[in-house]
Amino acid sequence: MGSSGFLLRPNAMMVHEQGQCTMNKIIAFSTVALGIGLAWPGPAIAQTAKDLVGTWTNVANVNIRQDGTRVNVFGPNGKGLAIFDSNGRFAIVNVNPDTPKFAANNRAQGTPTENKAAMEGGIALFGTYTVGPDKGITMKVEGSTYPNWTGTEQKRTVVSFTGDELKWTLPASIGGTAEVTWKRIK
Amino acid sequence: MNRRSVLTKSVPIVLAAALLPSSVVAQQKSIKDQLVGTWIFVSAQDVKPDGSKVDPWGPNPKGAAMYDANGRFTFMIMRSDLPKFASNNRGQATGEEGKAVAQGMIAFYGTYTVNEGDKTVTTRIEGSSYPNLIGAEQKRVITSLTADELRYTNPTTSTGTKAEAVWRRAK
Repeated sequence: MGSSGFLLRPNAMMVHEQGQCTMNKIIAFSTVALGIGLAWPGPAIAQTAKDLVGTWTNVANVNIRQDGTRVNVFGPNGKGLAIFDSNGRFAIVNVNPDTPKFAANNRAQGTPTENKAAMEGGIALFGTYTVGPDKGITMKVEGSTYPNWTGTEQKRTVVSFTGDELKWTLPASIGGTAEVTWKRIK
Repeated sequence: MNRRSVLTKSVPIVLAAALLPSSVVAQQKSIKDQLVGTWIFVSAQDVKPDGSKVDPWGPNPKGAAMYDANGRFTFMIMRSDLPKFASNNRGQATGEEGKAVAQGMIAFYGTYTVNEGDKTVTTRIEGSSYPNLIGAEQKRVITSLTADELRYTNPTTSTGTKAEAVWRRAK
């Protein structure tokens, strides 16, 4: 919707600038109005990387399985933080705060069960990002706590963006689709 | 003081201010202001009680720390030789894969404050890939901070050692 408004506007302006008959102007203005009308009522779509710059707290991280069932990826209290800087760098950390603590109280001495739970209970990644031209976010992952993600280029589809709330989807690291919702921290 | 003397006295001051080298101006920035931004991990060495150093992160480690202007941060470091999961599913690590990754990475986020007096950064960890750190408060002692490089010591790491870390500012 956002992109259709975006595309219609330059065409309309061109007709207007040619200074042709009134009918053309009416058509031009109607087209602009239609474009704006189409673009406005729905949620705004992130147009540029600038729209993302800031710090975001995780609101929801849902795994949508192939049968359509929805599961909270990081449990009922899942949380996380994402930072997008103005130079095109980002970092994301998502965790399940209910993951059991390591009994040895030493990160290098987890039991197999503790290590596995820690892997299931969190993901972090960092790298560079760009937005668009199709309003998706492309992330070049330089490093991730999930090794399979390191060195990959990933596309997140922005499904809604209101300036202060951002929701995207992506192929999940556990299969299915991840639907992740963020709220801007002010 | 008449108008002329105000002029003759103030002009040199204005000129002097304009000619101040930029390094002097930079030094006036608080540690907090210098810390804000994105930093890329260079190295961290564990320092043992006998003074010997061990590099737990291996060659070409990866990592980034981002400090925002409002006191929030993310932090992560990982070895570059972590095994990819054969299942291609984060929830299905083998015992070996899970062990290598749990030992070879750390990530956390939360809030931070800077003590300008003793040059320490205190982080309050809200979420971490290592569950024992959740809710923890950690202190880093800044030993050197320039426009491009950050060095600090961590008196207590998550593997029970002291560490010296080096970061470079992301360009």
